Amino acid sequence: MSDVAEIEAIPAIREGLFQLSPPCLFGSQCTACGTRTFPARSFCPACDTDAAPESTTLSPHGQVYSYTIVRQAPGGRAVPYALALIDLQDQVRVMAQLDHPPEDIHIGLEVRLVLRNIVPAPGVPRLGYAFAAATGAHV
Amino acid sequence: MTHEIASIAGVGMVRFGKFGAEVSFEKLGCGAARAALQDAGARRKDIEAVFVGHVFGGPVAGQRIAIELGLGGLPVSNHENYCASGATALREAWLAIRAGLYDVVLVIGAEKMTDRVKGGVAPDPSDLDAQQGFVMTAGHAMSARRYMQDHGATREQIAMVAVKNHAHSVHNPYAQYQSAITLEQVLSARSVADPLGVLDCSPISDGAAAAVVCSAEGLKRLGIASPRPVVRGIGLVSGSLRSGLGDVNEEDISRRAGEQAWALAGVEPSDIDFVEMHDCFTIAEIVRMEGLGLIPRGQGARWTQDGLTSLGGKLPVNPSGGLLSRGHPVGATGMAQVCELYWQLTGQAGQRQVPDARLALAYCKGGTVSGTDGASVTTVVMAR
Repeated sequence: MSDVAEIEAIPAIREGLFQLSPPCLFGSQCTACGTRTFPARSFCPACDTDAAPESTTLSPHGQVYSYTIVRQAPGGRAVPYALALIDLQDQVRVMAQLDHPPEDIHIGLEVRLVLRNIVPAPGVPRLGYAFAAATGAHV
Repeated sequence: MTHEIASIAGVGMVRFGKFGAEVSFEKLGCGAARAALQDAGARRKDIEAVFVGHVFGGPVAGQRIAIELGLGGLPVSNHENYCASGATALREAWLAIRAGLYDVVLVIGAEKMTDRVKGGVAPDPSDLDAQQGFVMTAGHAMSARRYMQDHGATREQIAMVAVKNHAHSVHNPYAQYQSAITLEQVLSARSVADPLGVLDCSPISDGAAAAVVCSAEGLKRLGIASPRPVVRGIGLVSGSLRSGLGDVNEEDISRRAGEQAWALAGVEPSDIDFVEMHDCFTIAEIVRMEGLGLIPRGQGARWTQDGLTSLGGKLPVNPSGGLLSRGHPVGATGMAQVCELYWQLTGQAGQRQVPDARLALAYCKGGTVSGTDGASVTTVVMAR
């Protein structure tokens, strides 16, 4: 797993967002109504229970809900890049960059989670999450 | 408990635009404030407090303006709610008047952006979405793409919001842009975030707008005998965390801000004669009008194409030219909307006048917080 060793050395954008192997995001799940969130929260945003949600791993598989190709951004970020809202299979929507040729991106595209440096310009690398088109083996 | 009624005694603006270093933040704010004081017939000694909305003005920006106006020593407060900052400052002034604390106050929205903002505005760098490369344009681009998918709207219909608002501001001497643009120009403009091009985006602008707000006693003190437009109510809500896979264009935050405003003002939304809407991007005007319930869900693009939101239409939206064409110095925008409401409700809007305008809404939406449907929305209802 040399890939994991390589990315393990990069500091994460924030603690507690994801695990490396197998790659997946950490969320929380309400013990009363079942609502899942990303990132994990200390309360349920959907119901008024006082019970603390449980932490959970989230499916790395999902679909593109909407997307754009960003061609102009404030300084420090190289353009263009694809940004998307991804609907994970377990009912959680995540915003992240999408590693896919812009002309082939469409609403409904099946994607999977990838972990990589998400600082796009020279500087200190930071490990974050993005998505790429799902291959047959992953779906 | 009875509440004092807050009226707008006078307003003032500087023309929005892109200014050099010789036009400072303080100079912009003072220019608008002096115009408002003159319009209201107020002298410095009449003013009891100063409320200032801004985002990029830096620490105690309001005090820096007030001291240049000769208003040192007064209570001065600074209000930041991103693009809703100006309207948030007005809300604080309105609350203070209603509470009976003051009779004559000055509200200023001011922003100098062109020397400190490049390439567009974004959330705070600590925000999780910002770390993914989220910029405001990207959010609205994803909103537009989904709106077209869900409602069968066309790219052309969305672009028509820019054509309409530029046509309106041909008649607004305070607008940054005062010339019409064509649909072809919007469609062929440089892409900023697909499918939105640069003419779908409000510009980075400098400017300021101000108003003198009075109780009934304050109007008397200024020698104003005739009625002035009344602030009927100002809603303020923040976004809520969205769970599940709902419609990105649901605009629940707009629905809540609208319902709060209608209740505070004691009006029916169907009685609104025109709207100054926060069209920071073309698609935003459409989905926010729908979120408020002023246009049926999914029909905003069609309404735009059919001219229903144009001057002379069923419900004119942005007779001033809106953010797209009047310009968008973020902290000043809310007060610029209030200036437009004042001019329209007093019949001073010239060739962009909405005939017999009696009741109007000004809507601002400021900022984003990851996971929510927005950060802040203000809804100002004013009546003749």
